[in-house]
This record gives sequence, C-alpha cells and structure tokens, in this order.
Amino acid sequence: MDGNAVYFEDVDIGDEITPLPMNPTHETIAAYVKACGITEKRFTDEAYARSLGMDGIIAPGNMGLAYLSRMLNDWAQGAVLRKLEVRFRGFVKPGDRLTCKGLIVEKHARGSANSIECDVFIENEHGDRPVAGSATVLLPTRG
Amino acid sequence: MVEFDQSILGKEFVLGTFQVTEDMMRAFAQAVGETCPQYIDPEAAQHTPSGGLVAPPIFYDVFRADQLPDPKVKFGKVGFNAGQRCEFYTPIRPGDTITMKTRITDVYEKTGRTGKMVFIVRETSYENQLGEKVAVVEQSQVRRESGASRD
Repeated sequence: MDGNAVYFEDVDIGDEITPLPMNPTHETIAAYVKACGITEKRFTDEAYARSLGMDGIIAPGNMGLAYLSRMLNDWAQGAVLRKLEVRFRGFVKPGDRLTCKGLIVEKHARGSANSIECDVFIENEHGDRPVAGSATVLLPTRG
Repeated sequence: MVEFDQSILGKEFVLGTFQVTEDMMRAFAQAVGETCPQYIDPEAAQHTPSGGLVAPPIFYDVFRADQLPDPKVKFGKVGFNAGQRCEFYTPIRPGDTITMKTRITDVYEKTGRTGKMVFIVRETSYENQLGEKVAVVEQSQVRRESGASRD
C-alpha cells in the first residue's frame, strides 16, 4: 500500500483513525499462533479449550494488539507507535466480525517528538468492545 | 491474602536470547496482514523513515520462554490476559539478537461482581545486541475460581 502521509499539523482532537476490519477465523488465528511459536493449545484446539471451561478457541490477546497497531500504521504510514495500553474485557473468537477503531483525544507538540493520544478499541457488531485502551503515537511534522 | 511464593517478587529472570531473521519478521507481518512497506518490503523499506525493514511493534510476541517464573499462586485453574501496557523504543531489524528478561512486580487479589480474582503482574523487557531498549511490556494476568468467564 502506498504511503498515507499524515502530519501532526493535519490532525485534530476528535478526528477518527481510519477503521480496520478484523475478521478472525480458525485459519488466521492458527497463522498468528504459528508465526509466534505459541504452543498453548487453547488457541488452536477446540476440545482442549472446552476442557478449560471456555466456549471454544479464542484469539491470543496480542493478536488484537497487532491489529490495533496495524490500524494506526495503515492510517498514517510515518506514524510511530510509542505506547499501547489495553484492557481485555472479552474474548475474540473465530467468526467474530470486528472493527478496530480509534479517536484522537489529545495532541502534544514537543519539538521533534510531536505526539497524539488516541482512544483505541476493537468493537463487535453489537457495540461491545472486547479490547479497549489507549495509544501514544508520534507523528511527523511538515516542512 | 492469597497464598503465593513471595520470594519471587521483583526478581529478574533472563528468559532467553533470540536471533531475529527476516523470515520470522515476514511470517509475523503476513499473519496480521501488514501492508506497510517498512514491515514487508526490504527494498521499499529503504525509502521509508525507518531506512530499512523493521518488525511491527507487536513482533515481541514471537519471543517466548519455555518456562515463566511461577509465583505459585494457590488460586484458580487457568490464567487469562487481563490487560497489557506496551512501550516501544528502538525498532527490531533482521539480524538483531534480542534478550528477554522478566520480573513479577505484583500479585494481588480483588473481588469483582463475578467473585474473587487474583492478578499477577509481570514486566518483561526486550533489549537488542547493542544494549538498546526495544520494548517493555507490562502484562496483567487474572486467575478466577471458576475458569474462563470475563466481566
């Protein structure tokens, strides 16, 4: 994808980050689990997940963080994620139709390190947010 | 108070040293569908501010220890990730050697509307071969009496 240049001067408090759909499936979860070398079976083995008292397999928490991080860079390619803090309030499961969303809530001009604070979350079609938190993002400055 | 091995609190453990390859970075980027050139295209990445291929921030998740220090909490059956705070510093590049260290900073109990919960807080740091900080991740794990439900 070609660079979306987003500069610190161009954004305002209240601006939305371009949302990113997240549609986890057994396959995408398995690909993440494999790429990370995760050996815990609760992310890939339905029967094992049920034996732990769950409805079935879930996505690893970090997979949601990876999508939130991707949302920010897809929105602003020169953006540098400095901090990401989330609470896990529900599980992300295969078949969920989710959207990563973000909203700029603060702007901080600090010379060469201009940053924005964003509320970020992953929302399902019912408006529930299994993952929600905040991000600090450095943005490039014009000129 | 919840029973656990108090002597482990604050103690630092080196969990491992890991060699980063371009293949590992590519597999991770593909698994989350990254499209930005700095994460997927070594040629095009040279013309981005990173000046070459770098790993997406959450790539730290590929570094895994065989065994984590265990505070031996006598409560609950299985732990779930309750929350996480990640700070990112120097980006990871192909060929880096990353050292992963962790310490348990807190163990505490809390009673919510679903009953008693025990939280275990771990701070894990990742450093490259030059001694530069790459990432620091504070993870809070929750254990419940009855297994898998969340608030």
